[in-house]
Amino acid sequence: MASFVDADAFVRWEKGEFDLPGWMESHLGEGEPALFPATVWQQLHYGVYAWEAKRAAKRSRFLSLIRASVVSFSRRHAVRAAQLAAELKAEDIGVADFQVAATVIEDGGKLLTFNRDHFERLPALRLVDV
Amino acid sequence: MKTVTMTMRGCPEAVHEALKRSAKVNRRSLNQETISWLERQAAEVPMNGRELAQRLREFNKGLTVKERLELAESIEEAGRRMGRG
Repeated sequence: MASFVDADAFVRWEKGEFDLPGWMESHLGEGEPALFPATVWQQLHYGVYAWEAKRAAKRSRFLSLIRASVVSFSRRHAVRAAQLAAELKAEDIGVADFQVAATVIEDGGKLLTFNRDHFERLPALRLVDV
Repeated sequence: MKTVTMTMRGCPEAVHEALKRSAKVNRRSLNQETISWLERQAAEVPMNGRELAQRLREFNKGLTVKERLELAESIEEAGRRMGRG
């Protein structure tokens, strides 16, 4: 089963609260990629455009170096996101979270996230135990 | 650049038609267009999770604690702007 990484796993790693590389090494099988929903990739790219030039360049280099596998948000993901939002009827879960969840569900994966508060409310979504 | 010859069988008609349309738009031969599509897809093949883990570690060695915290804050700020916070 494919593993998708949420942006908060990066945040925890950068803060020294979670060993993201260690988790990848111990939980991903030989040759198995870590996947990123396009919505998460958008979030990780923010600094490239919001920061001053030197830091932005460093961030840009980092993101190009890691050559991660980004799963596009497609028509079927959009349909699933709409369904999830309608079923949950929750106003405190944003559009972006529904997009992330829909991507993971549609592609038959599980999500590495620390925002269990939001995502545990979606029964069809499988979460990684961390 | 070294090249090889590939033969394709069983290509769905719809894909063939799409390739032909795309080749016409881009003013390329069908062969050139097919290679262009394959090259784009090949660039998307990711490194596996273990390689990625190694890259992450190597890259972060060059960052100070302050820079790492700024990175984290930037991702969090983006999340808030996207309604994820």
